[in-house]
Amino acid sequence: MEKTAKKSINLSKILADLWSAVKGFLPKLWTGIKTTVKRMGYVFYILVHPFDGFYDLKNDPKRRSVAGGVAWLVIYALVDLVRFQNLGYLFSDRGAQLALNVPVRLMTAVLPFILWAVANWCFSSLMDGDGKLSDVFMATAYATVPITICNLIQIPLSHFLSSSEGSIFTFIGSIGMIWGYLYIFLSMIIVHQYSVGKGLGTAVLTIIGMAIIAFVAILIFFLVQQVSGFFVEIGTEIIFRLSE
Amino acid sequence: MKQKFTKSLIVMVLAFVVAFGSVLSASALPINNVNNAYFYNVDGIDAAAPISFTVEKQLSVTDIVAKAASNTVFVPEDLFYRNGYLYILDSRSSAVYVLDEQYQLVSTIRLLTGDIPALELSDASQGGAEGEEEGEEGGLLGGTSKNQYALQSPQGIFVTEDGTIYIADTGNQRIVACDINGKVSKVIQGIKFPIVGEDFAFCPTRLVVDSVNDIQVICQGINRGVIQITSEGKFNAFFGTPNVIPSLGDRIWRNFATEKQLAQMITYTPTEYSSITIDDRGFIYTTIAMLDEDSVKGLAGKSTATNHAPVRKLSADGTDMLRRNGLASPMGDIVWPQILDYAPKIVDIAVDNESGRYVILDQTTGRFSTYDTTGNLLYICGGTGSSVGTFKRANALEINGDLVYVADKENNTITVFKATAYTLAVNAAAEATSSGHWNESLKLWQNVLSYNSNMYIANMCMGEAEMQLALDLIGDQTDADGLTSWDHYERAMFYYNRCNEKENYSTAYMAIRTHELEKYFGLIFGSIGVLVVGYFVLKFVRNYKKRKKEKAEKLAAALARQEAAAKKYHQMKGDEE
Repeated sequence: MEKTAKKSINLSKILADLWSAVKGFLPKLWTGIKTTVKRMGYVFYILVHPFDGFYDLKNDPKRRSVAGGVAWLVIYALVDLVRFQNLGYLFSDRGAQLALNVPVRLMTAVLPFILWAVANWCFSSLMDGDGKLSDVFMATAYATVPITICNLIQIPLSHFLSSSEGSIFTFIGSIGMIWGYLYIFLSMIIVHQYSVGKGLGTAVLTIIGMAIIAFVAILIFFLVQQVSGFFVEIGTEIIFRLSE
Repeated sequence: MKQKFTKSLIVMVLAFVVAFGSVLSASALPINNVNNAYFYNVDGIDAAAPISFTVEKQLSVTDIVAKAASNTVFVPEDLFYRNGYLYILDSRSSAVYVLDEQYQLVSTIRLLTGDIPALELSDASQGGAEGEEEGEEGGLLGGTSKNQYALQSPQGIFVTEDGTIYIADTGNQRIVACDINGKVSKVIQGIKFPIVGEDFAFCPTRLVVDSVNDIQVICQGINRGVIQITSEGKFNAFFGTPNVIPSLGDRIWRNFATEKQLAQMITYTPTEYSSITIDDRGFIYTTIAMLDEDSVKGLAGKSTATNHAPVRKLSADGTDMLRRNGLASPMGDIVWPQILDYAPKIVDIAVDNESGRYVILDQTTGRFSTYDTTGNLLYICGGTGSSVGTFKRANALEINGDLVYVADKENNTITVFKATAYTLAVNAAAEATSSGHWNESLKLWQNVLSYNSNMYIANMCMGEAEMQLALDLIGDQTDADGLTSWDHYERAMFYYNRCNEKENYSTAYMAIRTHELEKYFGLIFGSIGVLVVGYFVLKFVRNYKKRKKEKAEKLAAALARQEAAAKKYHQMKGDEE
């Protein structure tokens, strides 16, 4: 009896400790979310003043927010998914919609930007760029916002347009693309304090780097799959022999 | 005791269920071997479909020739149907069998009588070795009288409206026209082609005769298209040459290649036609059996490519008039692996003159596919094998209303297929659509959908019918069913959505959108106007209030200042006093 009582006391004590820790953490989390949301709004200044905006985003500690970057990238992926599923009939690919795989779709939306940030950081450290990985990532994530906005505009528009007016639809889509990719390039130049020529060179190198990273990742994936497959096969063989 | 009873009861019930189930499943089995029926859905994926044809009869040599010896080999090379008679060309025994509607033998043409001038046969022909033995006598059979002649491995037959039988006597390098008793009325031989060369043998394989008795022939080894021969037996022209378009990469590469490299490259030569037929309006349908690698690449997998198309409909000047509105250009199956061995080998084509439907026969899969006039695939039947309703080497087919005859060279049979109720429903609906009976076609296609809900052509044609019905109405006019044109457009959108026809869907949507905009034009622009006016009014009111307030404040300030000055003045005065 005593032992169980002791145990139950311990458990409640642990729970109480946990609760107090959570209680202490919750307000902190709340203030963190509040400041992040506030700082995310800075992107609308960046949209119209990219040079000042990206410079301050990196250097002003009051405006810098990696969590904000993560949030904008997550929003980009979600909007991409919503757009894919909710376009009007004339502009959607019904076959692809039926074969939708949500995690894969989200990953493929986000992965290129993460790959860009990593590859760009790798090359910029060789080409004496000023930016840290977090800087490059944050700037890239903020630069995806034009694409997100244009994707959002496309959703209601696709329900009102006929296919002969489809050029309006594609026009808005391509504006978003050009605007977004241009800002990714500008943010990279500003973060690393590059000239335009050097920035262009780094961009080309970064794209090559992205391809190399993807290639190595696939290679490792298949190698691991082969090795694990080999051991699994040995296991099944042993089980088969033993059960014989 | 009780337990035993329940046990036996359970066993009895189980036995009953099994027996009943087996009876049910047995009755559910198809009655003939034309099973595994399928059709394509709107995405070009094959899905189960109702059976389109059942085997009515399979004719072997003993069914055709009653007293045939058991070792008689019968190789049906070509078929022709005209005015109640089915003509079968047997290339092994070199004879023509004529059957009536009950498949009873009416006549056998084995020996031709009449005057056929002798001809020195060319060695280049396929039947050259055999031809040489009899060459001097021009195919004269030994032992028979001087004006009796035998056919030699003939490959094509055509019968005109007046009953004249034209036979492509391939082994004897000539075309003979005769009547049903074998009496020769015309012989065409010794044709020389100006381009191909003098020593080229004239080996006709398939032929048609048009309304002015000009003969269109396909020849062995001639890849310049169809040969036109006048009714007098003179060479007129080649026409409908299959065009060859090398790929862009090859065309660029050829500019840089040396002559030695060019010699090693594949030469792009047009392919030969395999079969030919004519409809009653004079259009000539041709098929290509031997596709080259380039064509296979261009055609495999839901392709609407026209430059490699194995089926062509040639007008009088040789241009391809075939409409290809379907998921893929007419070539039998829509999807097949991009390998030469699996490529369709279209060996024959037959046209139904009344409706314009045509059937093509694919030797690779042993299937025959029916198309409507716009190039939509309607149904598929057949298969490979030696059981009833399947083929090993299907070689020719002929259409007669609801019946389709298919000749198989390796099974040595002729199979008679009869259209099922489903096929008749599709035909009736397709005919209603092509003749513009829109209201009727809606009902008929609905009937087709009740058989096969995957039949996307039904939705397509219903959408078209609704569009046409909508066009007949003006403004808010209603038709007999009390529907306005907008209702019809809405229905058309529904059907076009079902069959994934985006262009037509968009047209119907635009009509509806324009109407809605017109309807709510006043409301939309009125509300915009109200908003604009309201904004300015509000702004003015606010400014007015602001100014009023400012004025009041200024006034109050001035008053206060005055008061303060007065106070000060009084104070000063008081001080002085």
